[in-house]
Amino acid sequence: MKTDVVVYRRKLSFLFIGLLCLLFIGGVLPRLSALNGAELMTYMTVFKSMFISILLEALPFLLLGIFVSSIMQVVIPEAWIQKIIPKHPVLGVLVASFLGMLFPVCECGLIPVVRRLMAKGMPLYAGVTFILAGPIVNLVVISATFTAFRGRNEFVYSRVGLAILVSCIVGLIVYSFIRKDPRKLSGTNEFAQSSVQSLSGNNKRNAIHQILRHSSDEFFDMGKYLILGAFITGLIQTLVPRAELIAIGQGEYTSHFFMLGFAYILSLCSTSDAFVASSFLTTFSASSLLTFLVFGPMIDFKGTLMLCSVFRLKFVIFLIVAVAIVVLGGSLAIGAFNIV
Amino acid sequence: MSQHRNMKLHYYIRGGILFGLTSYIVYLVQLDKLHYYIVPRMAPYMKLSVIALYMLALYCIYLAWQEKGKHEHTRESEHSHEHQHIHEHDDHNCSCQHEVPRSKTKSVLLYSIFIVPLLLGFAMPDQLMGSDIAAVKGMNLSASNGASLQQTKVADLDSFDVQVPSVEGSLEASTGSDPKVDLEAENKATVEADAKAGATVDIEGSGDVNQDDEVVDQSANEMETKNASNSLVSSTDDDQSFDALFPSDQYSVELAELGKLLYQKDIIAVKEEGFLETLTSLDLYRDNFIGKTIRISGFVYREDDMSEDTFVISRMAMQCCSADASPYGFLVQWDDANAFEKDKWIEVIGTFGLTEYNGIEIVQLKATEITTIEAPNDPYVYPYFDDFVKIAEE
Repeated sequence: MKTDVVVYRRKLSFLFIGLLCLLFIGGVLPRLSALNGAELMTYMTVFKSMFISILLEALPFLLLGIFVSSIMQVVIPEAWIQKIIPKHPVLGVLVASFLGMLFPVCECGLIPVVRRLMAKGMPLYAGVTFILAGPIVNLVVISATFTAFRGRNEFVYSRVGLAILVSCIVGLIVYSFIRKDPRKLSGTNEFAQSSVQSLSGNNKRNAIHQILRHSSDEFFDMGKYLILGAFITGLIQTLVPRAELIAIGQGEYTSHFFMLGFAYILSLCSTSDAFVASSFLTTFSASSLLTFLVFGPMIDFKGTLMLCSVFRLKFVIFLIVAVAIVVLGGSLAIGAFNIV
Repeated sequence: MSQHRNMKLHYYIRGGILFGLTSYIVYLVQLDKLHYYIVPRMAPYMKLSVIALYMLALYCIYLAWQEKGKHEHTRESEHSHEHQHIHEHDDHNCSCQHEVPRSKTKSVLLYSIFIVPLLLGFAMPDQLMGSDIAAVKGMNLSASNGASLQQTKVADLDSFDVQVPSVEGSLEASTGSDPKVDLEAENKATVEADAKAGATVDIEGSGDVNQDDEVVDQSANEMETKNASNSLVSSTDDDQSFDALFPSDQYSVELAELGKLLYQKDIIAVKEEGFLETLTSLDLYRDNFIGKTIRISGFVYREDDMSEDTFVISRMAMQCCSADASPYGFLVQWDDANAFEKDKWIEVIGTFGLTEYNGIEIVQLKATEITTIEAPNDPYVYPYFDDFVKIAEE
């Protein structure tokens, strides 16, 4: 019974990925077919540059993430996590939103870790908050933002502040509205069991074996989402001229919506997106850049695919919508009060 | 039993893929091409990743061997090991999310996802980002305000006036062979918008009026500069009037300081370190620098609608990886501009001036000397993290 449901869900997510591919092929092929050989070659090399560079950039973070997650799996006892996250949901999301300070990576590295933490008993709402806030509320990203917006420190403060606010609000929304476990496979019990096993058979060799095995399994599990994400992002970056896009998105309110979509399809790493944003300082309103800076690291194309490795598709879509609405509200409010 | 063989095959394939990834990164490092894709400061992390990948690859091969050993073992004494096997598999499934794919198709799908980047990586030539990518990203000709060519073109669309076919016709007549006036929508918009604004805006110099304008502009500007430098000479101790040339708010203090230092040089060399910052400072205080001599190197970039004596000298600025790179550059005017193909690496020495391109005022270098150079080993420019003032130090 259970496996039937699982297979059905897997089919659904494969269907989703297939549909996405079809969509892109449908959108892309007409453009490609109009090209001659030389132009096609040009597009191919541009695409290769984008695709490979996104992959290479994410690879160290992904590896760090899966190793940390595997070590956690073997070493950290469940009780520890339950001790760290306060029972009260409001305190819980607050603590979770600052956890990124302990683990400074972008979402490629964060997702495997949070997946593991949740399997080890971190409450869902805290995990969601951590996934959303982690890529922004960490020292690497904060210092990159300081550098990119030299002299405009209010950008940094409002970026971090808004990120914490949004992640907490979404975390609380999840706490109050999501009753069913939205994770792909609820393996908590088996998890607990396995770690008991690992403790009972406790020699060091065993632990290293487990860490390596988990790491290699997880590499292939997360890697496929990363590669798919990088592939599609690369396609978009190759075929949609950035400058043409930018020209569409001016205007006080449209710029916010535009920045949502722009951040989503660019799928930049949170450590470098501040530089890209700062190059729009004079062409876009400051608060719409804030939308870009807060939404992008939380939700983007690459990240959506990686989230699909943790959650069911329905929940991922729910998250995207919730985050988009809260970010929009927040940055419009910040814009209205002229904080940036 | 077939399950075991399957597992073995899975581990071999995984090991192979991990080895492939390892060797691809090593290959890039060996050929010194890693910086084609990511910034040099990421290189140490890449090397650590290589070690990690290599370790995982070895482990997968080890698992495959293990699987073989077990397999033979099982045949010998199937019964006694049955229990252990079940145990093994429980252990493996503990994390449940990642058991191996059940069907063949899924396995093929999964592993081919990993093989795609390897194939692309090894089979296709690694190419430096040049004009092709610049065209996709949109050339930034005004570093200080981030306005790009396409942007202004399409921005003109806002003032797009539909009732202008006649104006368009007359414009076409008046500009004659002007290659810019072709009927493609984008360009049409530019021309129409220009027509509406009542000024022929191009840098082609095909319209004499335009050229005159430029000359007038230039001379006016020269006078201004002279005045400026006079005042500088007459009151060197009076820092205030010099400072007044470089007004800054709290956000551009560093750029202003850099500008002041650059201003005092005979030839302003735009170096690789701090390329973008120098360009931004020059652009921000463009009026001060008119008539100054600039030396800059980069690759040749052209838009379709540029005239025969114009091109852009450009550099790719990279923050983290090539996905976030953007091209920056200056317009260069040189009578025999066509002699330089796109992506050719050149050094330009030229006089700093201003011109209008698609309706906005941008910097243009009137070249006095152009030399072809070798493409530098690392042709990209990166953000400058140190004090901007150090850029101007020699």
